Amino acid sequence: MSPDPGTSPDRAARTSRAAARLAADLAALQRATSEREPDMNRTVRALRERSRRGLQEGRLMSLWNSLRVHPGRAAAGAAVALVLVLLFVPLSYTRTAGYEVRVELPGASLASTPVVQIAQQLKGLLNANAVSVALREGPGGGATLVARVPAGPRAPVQAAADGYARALAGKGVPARAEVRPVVERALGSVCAIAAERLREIRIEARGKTPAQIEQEIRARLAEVGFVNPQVTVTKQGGQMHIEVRADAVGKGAGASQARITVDGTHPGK
Amino acid sequence: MEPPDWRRLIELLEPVYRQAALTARRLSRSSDDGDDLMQEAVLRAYEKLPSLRDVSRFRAWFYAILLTVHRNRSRRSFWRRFVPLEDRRGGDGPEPAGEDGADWEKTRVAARRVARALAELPAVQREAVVLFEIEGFSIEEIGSLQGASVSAVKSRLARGRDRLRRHYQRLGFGPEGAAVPVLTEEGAQ
Repeated sequence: MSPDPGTSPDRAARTSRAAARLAADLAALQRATSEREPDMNRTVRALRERSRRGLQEGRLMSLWNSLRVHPGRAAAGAAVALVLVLLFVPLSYTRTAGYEVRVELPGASLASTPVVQIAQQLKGLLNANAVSVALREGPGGGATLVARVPAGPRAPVQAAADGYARALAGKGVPARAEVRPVVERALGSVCAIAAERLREIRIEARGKTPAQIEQEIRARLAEVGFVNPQVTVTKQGGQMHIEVRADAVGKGAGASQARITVDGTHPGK
Repeated sequence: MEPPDWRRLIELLEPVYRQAALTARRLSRSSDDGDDLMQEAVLRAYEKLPSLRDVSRFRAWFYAILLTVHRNRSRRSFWRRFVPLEDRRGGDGPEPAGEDGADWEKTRVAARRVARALAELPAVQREAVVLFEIEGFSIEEIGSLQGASVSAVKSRLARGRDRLRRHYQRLGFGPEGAAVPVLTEEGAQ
């Protein structure tokens, strides 16, 4: 029977040899670390200087240590800092500064079409800041009227431009209208951005039927730039239920969010 | 609360400074690292001095601070483990020549070898081994400094010794290592 390797005399001897070497090395460590004498005065001098110089650093360090020990506080602090940054630090964003309404009058000429008169009518109709007229010479000829309309809901501008183009066509002046948003870069806080994107719609419901309320909400949503608004209003036992579905027009829409207030209260989402 | 008084701290520290500073070096990867540890412990003691009620227990109070700082540093010192193990352990001055020189070199090599082995232990086991084997503290004293029971200290000490022994066996001083002891840069033989 072979001897158990775990208890063999040879193994025990080697284990004790490791223990003996360890003991000798610990004694060597004791000697080696004692060779250079520790200097208390130097340590204290350095620390005095450090404590004078680094009182403020010390406070920062203690804050840092406290945050390390309490990660919850660190997370809350970071969240507060983020909110403050979002509230007060200006961010770059795009906004609709107005609209450019282009009315094409193909084949028009100063001789045959009262272009200047049309331009004045267009300016008044759209409440535009200015209307420029560009005449094209050549075989086809024609004119392009460009009106700059101040920022606001897009839908009424689009409706007015289309209506005017149809009216001109009815008078025998072929016309085509196009509305383009004028987009500009701006700086503003998150609050300012949200306020700009949010449109408040106030509805007075007292004395109105659900159908009238529906119609009013639809019209107001269209005014602020939402297309195909589907509104359902039901009244049951003194409570009113309003359901609204609408799509914001793409880039350059007047608003991306609307808040509807009925009789001074916000019914919720 | 009044600001702590450096003069009072120096008076209290003087009788224990040398031994505590040497303990700090023995707990650390290098003498310089140990001196940093001691400096941090003294600074912590300075800040906490107003809370010291019983002056007669200053030694135990200061050692407890030293061990706390040591454990904190061990926890946060991921990068410290890449610091070279020894720089000047064994003295700054010119190396002794002749027989003294040979002894000095052997001591330095042995100290580096055990320092490397100690560095692999968890901080509390390293403290137990150094305080018991080198500094001569009793198990009860170590328990009081570490804030641990006697049985916990005994367990830490036994585990620490066992791990050190196994480390030495891997170097060729026991059954797990090569039959012929390995000669390494640290001088295992």
